[in-house]
Amino acid sequence: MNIAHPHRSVPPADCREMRTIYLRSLALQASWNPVRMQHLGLLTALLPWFRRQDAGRDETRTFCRDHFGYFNTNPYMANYLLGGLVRLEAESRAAGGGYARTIRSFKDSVGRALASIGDQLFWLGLHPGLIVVAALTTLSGIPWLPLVPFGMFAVGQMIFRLMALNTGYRLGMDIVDLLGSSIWHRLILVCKRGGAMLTGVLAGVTALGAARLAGDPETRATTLGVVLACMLTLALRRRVPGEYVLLLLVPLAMLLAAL
Amino acid sequence: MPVASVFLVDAAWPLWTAAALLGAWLTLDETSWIQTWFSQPLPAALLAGLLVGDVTAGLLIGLPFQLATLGNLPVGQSFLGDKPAPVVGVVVAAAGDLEGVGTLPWAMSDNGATLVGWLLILLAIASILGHQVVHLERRLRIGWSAASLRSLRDGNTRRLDQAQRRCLTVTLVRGAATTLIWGLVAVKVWIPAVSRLPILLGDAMAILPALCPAVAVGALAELYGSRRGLRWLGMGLLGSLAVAWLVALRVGGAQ
Repeated sequence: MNIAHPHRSVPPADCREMRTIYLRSLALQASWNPVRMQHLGLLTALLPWFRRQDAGRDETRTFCRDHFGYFNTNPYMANYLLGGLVRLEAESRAAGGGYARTIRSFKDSVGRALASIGDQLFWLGLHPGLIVVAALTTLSGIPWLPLVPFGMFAVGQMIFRLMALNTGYRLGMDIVDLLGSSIWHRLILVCKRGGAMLTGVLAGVTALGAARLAGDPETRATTLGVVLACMLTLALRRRVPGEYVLLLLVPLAMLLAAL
Repeated sequence: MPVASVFLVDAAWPLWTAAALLGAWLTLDETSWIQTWFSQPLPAALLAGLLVGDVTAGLLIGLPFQLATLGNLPVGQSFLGDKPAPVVGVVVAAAGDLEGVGTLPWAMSDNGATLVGWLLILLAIASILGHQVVHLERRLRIGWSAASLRSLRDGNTRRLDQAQRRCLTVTLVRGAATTLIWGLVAVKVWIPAVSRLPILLGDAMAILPALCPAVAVGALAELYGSRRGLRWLGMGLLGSLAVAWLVALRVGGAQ
């Protein structure tokens, strides 16, 4: 896993060091707080590299203060930035310092770009789609089958994060070019279209289930409930969390039960 | 004998210890560590079901709760709730009580559906209350991380690691405690109360699981509700209905 940089004179990444940074990056959000968000997670992930630099007390304090400020990005994409930061810090030390402002603006701008891409890709694209796929696998009658797509995601995202760390270190500042690539937007589009299509499939399955209930006079009211629950959720426009929607459905269900 | 009925008796302790560990891991997984999405309600419930040897109970509780909360996306300053640990506790508590209920939210038998609906309400309450605890924990972390910075005067970076480990440990303990608390509430209060529910409320609870897929469809239709998104949604809807029609034709032809 030794990675040589093609352009600048920075030593190749140490395999053990990168492995430790990777493992720590998995706990990026462990100390998430509303003020500085992922700052401590980022700083502790960078420490394995910093400790090998034999820095003095003042240098240590400066390094820690520089990375202690507000930081927030998408955890699945963060390793691009983390790898890039290790690279930039190494370049800065090799050049005798003076990169502080560059590193700060790199962290801010790339962090923001990764947050935007990651949220669109993972939370608004992959997450709903994967859950609908898992829900639809229950139709097979095998109760544990929904665990398969989640297992695939778990392994896939860990490999992706490892690759992102190495790519970040290899590219350094050039990550900006990678983030500007249209592939991210195409991926987001594919995920969102897939999610919309799967929602349609779930709607179809729900409609068939409701139609089946409508066939029985005792459960006919439930069919009306399905339609009303869907309309209520649409009207609430996801402003009300699902837990509250469930509680709101209780009076509706009582009304239907009384019919 | 249902696992729930022997809760707090010696024989159940290893099981509840395992459940607490599972709840603790999944609570860590939700935000703090790795985020594999096994902490989502459906896989969390299935894992709890596997733990007690009743995967179907996990599916019966996890699927409707997952569908009902599908619209909660952790983007921006959104509502998070606290789902994995209560889900594990409730599934372990209800294992064995949901035999012969069915597997899908819209095709459950009445008696079982009443208990599932009643447990869904418990999970919703647990998640809403847990949200406040999560916020409190996050506010405490502000002080812990600030203290670690102040301690850097002597240049010892190990205190930063200690602060990070402290945050992980507190989340872990919260997960284990939450699993046991909601498991205990389910066993001692919630599940016994289902037989004493007024008839109207009991009937309403039986309807509730069947409404959860519709909640998911509504939330996702709102998420993908652009003109282009609706086109893809319509294709999925028509495709699924066409497949169901073809299957019905083939089954009818075979008979």
